Amino acid sequence: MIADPQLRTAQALRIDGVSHRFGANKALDNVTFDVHGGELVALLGPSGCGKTTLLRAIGGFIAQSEGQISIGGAVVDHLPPNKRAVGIVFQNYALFPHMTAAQNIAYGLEARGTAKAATTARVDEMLALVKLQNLAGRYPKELSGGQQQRIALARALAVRPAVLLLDEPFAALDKNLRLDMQIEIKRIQRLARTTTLIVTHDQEEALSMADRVAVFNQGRLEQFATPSMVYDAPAALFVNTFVGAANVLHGTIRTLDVDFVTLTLDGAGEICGRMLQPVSIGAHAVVCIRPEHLQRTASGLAATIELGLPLGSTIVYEARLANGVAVKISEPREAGAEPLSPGTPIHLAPKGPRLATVFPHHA
Amino acid sequence: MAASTNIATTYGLRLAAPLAIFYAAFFLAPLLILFYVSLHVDPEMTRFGFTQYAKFLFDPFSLAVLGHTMWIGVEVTLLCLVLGLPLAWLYVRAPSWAQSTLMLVILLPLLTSVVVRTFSWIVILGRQGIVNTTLASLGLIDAPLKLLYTEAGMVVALAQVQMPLMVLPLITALSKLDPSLLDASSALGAGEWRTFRKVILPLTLPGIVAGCLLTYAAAITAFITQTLVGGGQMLFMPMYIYQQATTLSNWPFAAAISIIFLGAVLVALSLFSLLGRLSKGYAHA
Amino acid sequence: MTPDRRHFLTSALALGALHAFPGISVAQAHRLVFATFTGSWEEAHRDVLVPAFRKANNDAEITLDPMLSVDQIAKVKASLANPPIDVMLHDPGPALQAIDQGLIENFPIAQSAHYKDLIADAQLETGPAPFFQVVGITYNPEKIKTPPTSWADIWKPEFKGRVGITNLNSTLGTGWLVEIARMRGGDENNVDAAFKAIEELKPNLAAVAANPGALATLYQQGQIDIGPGNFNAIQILKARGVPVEFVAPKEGAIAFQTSIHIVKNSPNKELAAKLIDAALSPEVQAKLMESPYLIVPTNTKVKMSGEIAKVLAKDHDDMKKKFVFQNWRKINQQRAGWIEKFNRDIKL
Repeated sequence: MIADPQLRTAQALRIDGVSHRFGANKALDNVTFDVHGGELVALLGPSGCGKTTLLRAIGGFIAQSEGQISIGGAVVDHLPPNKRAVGIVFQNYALFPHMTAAQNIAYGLEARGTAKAATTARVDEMLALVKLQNLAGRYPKELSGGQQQRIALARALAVRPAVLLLDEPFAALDKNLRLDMQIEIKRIQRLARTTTLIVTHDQEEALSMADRVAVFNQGRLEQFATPSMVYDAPAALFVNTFVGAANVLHGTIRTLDVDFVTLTLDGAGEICGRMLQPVSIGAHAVVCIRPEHLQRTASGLAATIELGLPLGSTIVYEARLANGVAVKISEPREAGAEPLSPGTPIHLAPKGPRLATVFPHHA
Repeated sequence: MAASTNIATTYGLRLAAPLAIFYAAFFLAPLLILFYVSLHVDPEMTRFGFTQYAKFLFDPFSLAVLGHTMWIGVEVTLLCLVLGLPLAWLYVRAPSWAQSTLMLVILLPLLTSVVVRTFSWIVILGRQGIVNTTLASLGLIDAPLKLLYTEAGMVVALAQVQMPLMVLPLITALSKLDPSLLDASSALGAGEWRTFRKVILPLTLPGIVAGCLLTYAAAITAFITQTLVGGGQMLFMPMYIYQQATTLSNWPFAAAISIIFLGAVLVALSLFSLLGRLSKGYAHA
Repeated sequence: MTPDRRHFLTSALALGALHAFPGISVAQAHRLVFATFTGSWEEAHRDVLVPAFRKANNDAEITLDPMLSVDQIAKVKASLANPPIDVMLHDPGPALQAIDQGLIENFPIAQSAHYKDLIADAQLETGPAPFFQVVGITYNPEKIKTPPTSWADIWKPEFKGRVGITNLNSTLGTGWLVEIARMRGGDENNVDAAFKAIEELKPNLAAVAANPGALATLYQQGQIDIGPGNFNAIQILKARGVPVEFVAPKEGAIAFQTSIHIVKNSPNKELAAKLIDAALSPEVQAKLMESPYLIVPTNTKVKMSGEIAKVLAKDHDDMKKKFVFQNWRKINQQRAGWIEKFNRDIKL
C-alpha cells in the first residue's frame, strides 16, 4: 500500500477477468477493463446486470470467484474493506444517524488514527468542498436528501480514497435536484482528482457525467468506451437499444462488403448498414437506426406518417413501414414549421451507412 | 381536529378499561394489601407502626442480603449481555432457514418450565454432572469441582434461564440496524471492534437497555433457580421473604421486606433506563 | 414439596385480605375437605385412607386438597367463621401455630374407637398423630462401605466435602439442629453447641439445601453422600433406584408427630372426627406401613413388619426406646432467632 495519503488520489483501477457466481447464477462473467487515475467511469446497465456486484467486489464486501482487482498497481483481493482505501457513497447514503454531519465526516479519519487537529481541519475542508459549512452540527435526519448525499460524499472523500465508488447516487433524489447534484459531484470529483466509479441504470446520467461508460448486460461487459462512442458506435445490439432510442428492423443479409452489408427487410425494402460482427449472406440480422439518424428522402423505404409531435426544436414522427413495423424519426424543426399530417406517404433512409448498425440475429 | 382527537382518546380509554380493571384488581389491590400488612408492629397484626421497615433498614445483615441480591442481578445481566449479543447477532445474520431453528433454540428456555430448566442445571453442575465428568475425562481435574451451590454456578444457571429475555429485544434492535451502515463503517477504514463500539452499540442501545431491564428484574426475583442451584446457605431477598412469611409466619416483616425489595428494584431499573436515555441522547438514534 | 411463588402469593393475599376486609366470609355448607400434603402423602391418603373412610361412612363425600401447612393455616385464618377446610394435617411446628391461633377444635376422644390404642407420644387431644415422620442418617452405600452408626460419624474427616444438610426453614433442618445440640450437651433451650458443631462441620459440608426435596435430589446427583434424611423421602429415592440407605443412629432417630386436626367452626365436625378415626385405625395404618407408602404407624395394635421393622423398630416398645421426640413448643418460641443466626453465621 502507498504510505503517503496524498498519493492515493488519481490511482488507476484494474479489473482483470473478474467473474462471480451466486450459486448457479453468474453475476459477473469474465469482466476486464482499466480505469485511469482520476477518471470518472459509469457502470451502466439494467438492474441485475452485475454492476452492483462489481462495485461490492471492488469495495471488498464480496470476494469474486475468479479474476483480480488491483488499485494503483497493487492487487487488493486479499484485503478487507477497511484496508482497501476505497471510498463508497451508498445508495441510501448510509450516514450514521447518531452522529452529526461533522462527526460522520470525521469517522474515517478517526478510524485511521488521524490527529485531532488534522481531523478538524480536514472536516472543515470537506464541508467547504461540499458547501455545507453551516450544517456541520446537524444530524442526518435534519438534512435534505441532497445535503445528506453531499455529506456522504464528503465523508467518503475525507480519507483521500484511491478509488471512490458511488452506488446509484441519484436514485433517491427528485429530478430537479438530480441535475444539480450531478454537476456538483462532477465538480467535486474534478477538484479531488479521485478515480471514481458511478453505478447507475440511468443512461443520461452515465453519458453526461462519465469520462467513459462501461455498459453491462447479464454479467458481461458489453462495451467500455467514451459516452459519444457508446452512443454513436454501439458495440452490441444491447448497447444500441439500451443507450438512447433505436429503431430495430429485422431482415436478411443480401450483399456483403468489407464493412458494409445490404439487408433485405422483411417486406419493406432494402437498407445499407455498417457491420460489426461477421455475418454471412442469407443470414438473419437486425439493423438499428436512431430516430435522429433517419431522414426523409425521395427514394428509400416507403412509409406512412401516423403521428407527428412538434417538440420545440425537433419534430418526432411515428411512421409505419410497408410491412407494418412502426419506426420513429426525429428531425430538426424550422421556425414556423408544422408537422406533416397523418397519412402522408414518405420515403426514409439513414443519413449515412455508418449510422445504421447491423447485428447478427440469433433467433 | 380537537373533536376527532377526543373521540379517538375516548375509544382508546374504553379499550384499555379491561386491562386497567385487571391491573387494579390483581396488581394494585394486592400491592396495597401488602403495604397494609407491612405496617404492623407484631406478627399477630394488632398494632400499627413502621418498626418492620426500621428493623430491615437499620440491620447491616438485611441490607447485605439486599445488596447481594441486587449485585447478583448485575452479574447475571452482564453475562446475559455478553453471551446474548453474539447470539442475537448470529440470528440476524443467519439465512432464513437457519433463523427458524435458531429462534426455536432461543425460545426453548421459555417453552420449558423453570423447574425443569433448573433441575437440568443441577444435573449439569453436580459432582458427577456433565461439566465435571467432561473435565475429568479430559484429565484436566483430579477431583470434581464444586459448581453446584456456588454463586458462580447459580449466576450461570440464572443467565441461561433468563437468556430469552435478553436476546429477543436484542434481535429486534439488531434487525432494525441498516446493514449498509456496517459496510460504510468498514469502507471508511474502521475495524470490527470500532464498528461495534461506534456504530452497532449506540444504535442498538434501546434494545440493550430493554433486554437488561427484563433480565435484571427476572434474575433477582428468580426464587426457584436461586434456591435450587444456589442452595440453602445463600440468602437472597426472595428466599428471605419466603422464610419470614412461611416458616416464621412473620407476615408484617415479610411484607415490609417485599415493599423494600420492590422499591430497590424500581430504583435500580429507573437508574438503568435513565442511563440508557442519557446515552441515547448522545446516540440520537 | 417445593415451595413456589404462587403458594406464597395466595397465602399472602388471603392473610392480607382478612385484615383489610374482616367481613368478607360467607357462610356455606360443603362436603368434607381434607387438606393433606402434596406428593407421596396425597397418594397414600387418596389410595388407602379415603377408600377406608368412605367404606365405613356410607360413601360420604370427601375432597382431598393437598397444600403446605402454611397455606392451610392462611386459608383457615382468612375465613375462620366458615373455613374452606375441615381437616388439617401438620408437622409439629405449624400444628402448634394453628393451636395457638385458635384455628382448631379438640379431638372428641370419647367418641374415638382407636385413640386409646395409640402410643403415648401420639395421643394429643388437640389432634392425634396417626403417623410419625422419622429422621435418621442417610448415606450412599456405594460410596460409604461401613454404615454410620452415630450422628457424630458425619463429622469424620473421611467425609470431607460429602455431607449435605438443609437450612432451618424445614422441620427436618430444625429438628436435626436440636438433636445435634443434645448430642453436644445442649437441648431445646440451648442450641449454641449445635451451631458450634455445624461450624466444625463446614469442611465436610458440600451443600446446605433450601428444603428436604432439594436435599434428596443431591443424593441422586452424587453431590452428597451422607447427611440427615427423612425416612420416607429416602424410601422414595430408593424405589427409584438411587443408591441410598437409611440408618437410625444410636442416639435415636428423630421422630415428629404428623398430627391431624379438626378445624374450628367446621360444618362437618362429625365426619371430620370419623376421618381422623379412620386414619388412627389399625387397618389403615397397617396398609400404609406396607410398600410403597412405608408410613410409620402409631397404633400399638399394628404389628411392625417389612422395611420399617427392619430399619426402625421391631415393635412399639422398641420404638419408644429408639425414637426421640422433641419439644416443639420450646422450638417454635426460639425458631425465628435460630433462623436469623443460621442466616448470618452459616456461610460456606
